[in-house]
Formats: sequence, C-alpha cells, structure tokens
Amino acid sequence: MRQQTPAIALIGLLLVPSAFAQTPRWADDRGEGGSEQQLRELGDNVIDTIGPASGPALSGEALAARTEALASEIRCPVCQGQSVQASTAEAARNMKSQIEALVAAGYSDDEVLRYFEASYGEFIRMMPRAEGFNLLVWLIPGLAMLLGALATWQAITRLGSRRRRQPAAADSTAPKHRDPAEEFNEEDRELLPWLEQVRKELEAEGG
Amino acid sequence: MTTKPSQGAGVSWPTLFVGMSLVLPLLGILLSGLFHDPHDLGNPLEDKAAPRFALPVLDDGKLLSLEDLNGKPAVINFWATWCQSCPMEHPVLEEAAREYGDRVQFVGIAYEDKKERLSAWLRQANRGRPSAYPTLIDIGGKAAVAYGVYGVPETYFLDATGTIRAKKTGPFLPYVDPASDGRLELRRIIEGLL
Repeated sequence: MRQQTPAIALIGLLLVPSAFAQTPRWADDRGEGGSEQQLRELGDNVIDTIGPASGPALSGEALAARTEALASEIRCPVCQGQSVQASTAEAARNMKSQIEALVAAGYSDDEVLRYFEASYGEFIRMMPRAEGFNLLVWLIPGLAMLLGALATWQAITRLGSRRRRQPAAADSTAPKHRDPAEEFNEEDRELLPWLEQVRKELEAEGG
Repeated sequence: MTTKPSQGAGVSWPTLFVGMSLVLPLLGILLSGLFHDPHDLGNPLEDKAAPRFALPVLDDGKLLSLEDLNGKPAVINFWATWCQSCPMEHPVLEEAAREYGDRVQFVGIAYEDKKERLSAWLRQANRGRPSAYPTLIDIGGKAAVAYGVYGVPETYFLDATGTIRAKKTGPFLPYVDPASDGRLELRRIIEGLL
C-alpha cells in the first residue's frame, strides 16, 4: 500500500491538465441558425484565419455566459496579467466585443482562441496549453507538492519510530541516576571542568 | 576551540539529487528571464500574409483596403493622439514617406481614437501641410487585433506581395547617434523590402 500511494498520486497529477482541457459545459448550448450580418461585421480576416464558423449562431444568456467565460481565458494585451474579462481598458472592451461577435456567429471556443492566437501568439492565452515545454508549468507544482508530502510523511514516520524506541530503551537499560557527562556531546564536555568549578564556588559561598 | 558538524545535519545524496533536479531547472528558467525583454513577444505574423482590412480614411471617409496597397511595399503604422512618443515619431515617418514617394505606400492606422482629435492633432503636427500618407480609423480595434498590436506605436512592414516581413515595437525616434537613429533604422528596413 505504501508503494501504491505515490503511484496513485502521480496518476492523479497527470490527469489534472486533461481535466482543464475538457470541453466547457456551455459548449453545446447553441442557438438556431447562423448570421451573415455578424460574419460581415467581423471582416474578411476572420474567415482568412480560422475559416467559416463550425456551428450555429448563439444569442441571449448562453451567448453572454460563453463570451464571459472565453473573455476570462484571453489576456488583455495592453494590461499587466489581466484577462479581457477583468480589464476595463478600451482595448479589452474591443476584444470582448469581437469575442461576442465570433461566438454569436457560431465559432467554437477553440476557433475563437485560435483567432486571437494567430496574431498575438500563445501569450494571449491566460492558461498555456498543457503540451511541450509548457507541461513543466502544469507538472512542477504538483510534483513539488507530491515530493513535499512524501518528505513530510517520511519525517513523521521517522519521528514516530524514534519515539517508540526511546521509551523501550528507558525501561530496560537506562540507569535511574545517569551521569550528566553522558548527556553532553564532545564540545560540551570541554566545559565540564568549568561547570564543576562554578558548582564548587557556589557551594563554598552557600556553605 | 574547534567545532564539528552535528551528526543529524547530514543530507542524503538521493534527497540532494531530487532537490537539485527540481531547483536547478527552475533557477535556469528564472535566470534566462533576466536576459529576455518581457515586452519583446515576437511577431507570430512574420513571413505570413498580412491580415486584410478595409477601414475609412480620416480625410474623406472612403474605405482603403489592404488590396489597395498591394503591388508595392507598405509601411503600416499603428498610432494614437494619446500616445506619448507618437509626436516625436510622426515627423520621421512623414519625411520617409515623402522621400520614398510612390515606391512605398505608407499608411497610418489610428488606434482607439476619435476623428475630431485625430484631425486636430495632424493639423498641428504637420503645421498646416497635408499629410504625406493617409490615416485610417480602426473602429472597434479589429485591425489592431488582427495585426496583434500590444500598444502604440507599432509599425508593420509588408513586401510587394502583402507579406509581413518585419515589425517594430515602439517609435522610430530621431537621434544624432547613428547607432540608435530611428530614421536610419526605418530606411534600413524599407530598403530590405525594395
């Protein structure tokens, strides 16, 4: 069981990125029919970059929810570490409008992210893809936590076994009156003559 | 008096190895960050076809599209009236646009700005002379997003086929020192397109 625990933890760790990569719950919450008007407003460049929309148009609350969720995944390029959703900058507001237009026209989450990534690179994603070198970002914190937990577990086990040994030794072999010199290490033993002298002087003063 | 290390302070080699194999790569990543400009995010569009646009010209409201620029190299400068360094860069671009004339098409794209402010700004900056190149208004920032603009000024250099060959983040500033003179840098990039 002891050997299985780290293995199970490691498998769990490897499953974490895939959990984030799952399709969001709103992915299938689409409305009826596409909109040529929305596509025209987006401009030719959208079609050039990610092709035509792969799904039907979206509107209402479902559109607002997906826009907000996607805007939280896209970085505001003129801000410091803020998403388009969190920022109040005009550039962020413009980008959010474009996200909304893309989603309304029927583009999927992946297509919207690819559109922004085409011009800004992977930097535009608030959450980097869990692949290649980026895997380190996902794995190292979990690995560090796992190793920390193992080290803690090992330390606690060692401490426990030491405590179990000490009472047993005290019962069987320890003398009732131990020589204080045995409790000192080598360095402390050099101080013993001085300690003895202080004790004598104190006795002389007292006596 | 000599001191000796206590017996319990020793670290086992396997622990040291595991610790170092985690710490050293992280240290390497952090150190490499010291020598990397965080503002230099590269240009994913380099050597790719320039994103298409069709934007209204500030002067007459007529649409100018990327297709209208094709056939000769183009310099597309994203700028704004609220940009601190744009007033210093503007004369450099104007001068180059006049120098290269019909051989290179210069275009300014106003980023997050208003028509009235732009007209007034250009009148003052050009001291009454007409602009050497058109300024387009990027309504809703669609062109800026398509080109991956982080801030202004940013300048994109397109060859005659409409492919992005270079990008300059920040202004071309006129300096006396040739090593940092933006006028020379601008000409160097343009000559590479001709």
